[in-house]
Amino acid sequence: MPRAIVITEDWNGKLGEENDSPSRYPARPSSFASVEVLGVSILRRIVDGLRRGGVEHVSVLAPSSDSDWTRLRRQNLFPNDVWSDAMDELTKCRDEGEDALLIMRAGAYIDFEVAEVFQFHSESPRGIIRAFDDQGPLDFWIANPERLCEGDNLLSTLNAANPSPFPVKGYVNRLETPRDLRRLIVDGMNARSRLQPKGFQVRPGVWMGEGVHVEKGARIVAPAFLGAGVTISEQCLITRSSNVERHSYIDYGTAIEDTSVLPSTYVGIGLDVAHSIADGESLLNLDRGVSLRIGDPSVMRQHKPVAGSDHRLWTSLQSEDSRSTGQNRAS
Amino acid sequence: MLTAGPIVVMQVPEKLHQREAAQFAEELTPLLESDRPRVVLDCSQVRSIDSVGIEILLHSLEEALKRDGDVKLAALSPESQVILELMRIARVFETFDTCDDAVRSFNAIPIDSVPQASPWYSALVGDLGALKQAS
Repeated sequence: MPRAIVITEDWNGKLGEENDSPSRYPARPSSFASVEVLGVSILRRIVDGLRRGGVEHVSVLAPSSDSDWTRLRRQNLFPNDVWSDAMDELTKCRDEGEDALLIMRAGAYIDFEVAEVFQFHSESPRGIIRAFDDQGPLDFWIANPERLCEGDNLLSTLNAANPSPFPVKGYVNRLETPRDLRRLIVDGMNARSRLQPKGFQVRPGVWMGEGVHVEKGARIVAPAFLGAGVTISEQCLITRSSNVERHSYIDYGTAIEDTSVLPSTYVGIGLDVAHSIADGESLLNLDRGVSLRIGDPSVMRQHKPVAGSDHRLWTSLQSEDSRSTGQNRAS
Repeated sequence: MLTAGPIVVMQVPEKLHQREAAQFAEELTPLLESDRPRVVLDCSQVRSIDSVGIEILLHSLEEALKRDGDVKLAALSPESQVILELMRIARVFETFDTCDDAVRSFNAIPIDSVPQASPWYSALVGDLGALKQAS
């Protein structure tokens, strides 16, 4: 049975959702893996996609929670501990007689057929393949563990190998900048990728999760996504491919235009939020390239849903999470 | 006859929050009490404004307009632009790329003080009126 290792540099102990302290906009913008996109985190989408494609055993490897990220970033060091763990995983696969291990970094969003890529690997004479798109190599490999068990860091080993290039024909978004994140959302809503909003399509191009509350006089213009437990107050306008993620609250008369509102964000009364990513008290305006911390809680803040209202939903999702992810390991 | 005092250019502090806003208002208020106050607020250093700061900007505009003057914003930093757009007040103020442009705009002759010649179409309208009466 095929196996996979997904390596993430952006880890909050869960697959980026269904969590009392929801995923915030990443402090390290190098990775958007735990950011919720149309109701589901990118990491969770990767894991679910692999499992749907027949990969039974998915390991999620992340840096240890006490890693000093600031220091690592300042010194431009890579978190080697994750890739060393990945090497251990590879060795285990070899010992168990696996002949193919999919290794990917949860950095880019890639639409691919799992069966097709394993087939390509089985026909490759080198025993290792790497995905490429028209911009170059992606952090996505399939390797025969027998051929890679030298060295103590999987990334160096993979970089030293000479893989056969596997051309990805599907949608790829490298998610290198916040602008890429917005593009991923817009492309998902406009069916330019396989990324599906999580929720009911209440009318063409408008998706809503469970427990969404849209007050009278509010207008939702397609395409738009409202995550579970979202409140849109009276006279609000949600338009131009905007997404308001789980448990966010948009207060009276505010317009959200071409904007992503990340989970549990309160946006105050009578505002114009455009071309931005709003996350708690942080606002990133993509048009002007400005990141602001809004110090005024009446304007923007982290929003806590009413205690108890959704507890059951979260609990059930958490247990589903632990069942469905196979072996998740946070070292 | 038009009379006006000098045009005052004033620097808005980097942070216009409650505390800074009070001091800023203290300095700004006397300028707005003259006849036809003309104030340019230089926003080039602004990094952050909260709702108190916004209130002071709006209040100063209101006071200036009451006395037939104006408050104009100039050299807006990207941060101040984002905040003013977010709060929906960018369109309330006249804004300029530079303080010089804002000052020059005050010196432009107001349209209502220029004697207006008859518009080119007045003769035509007169003719049409006569034609209508005749019919």
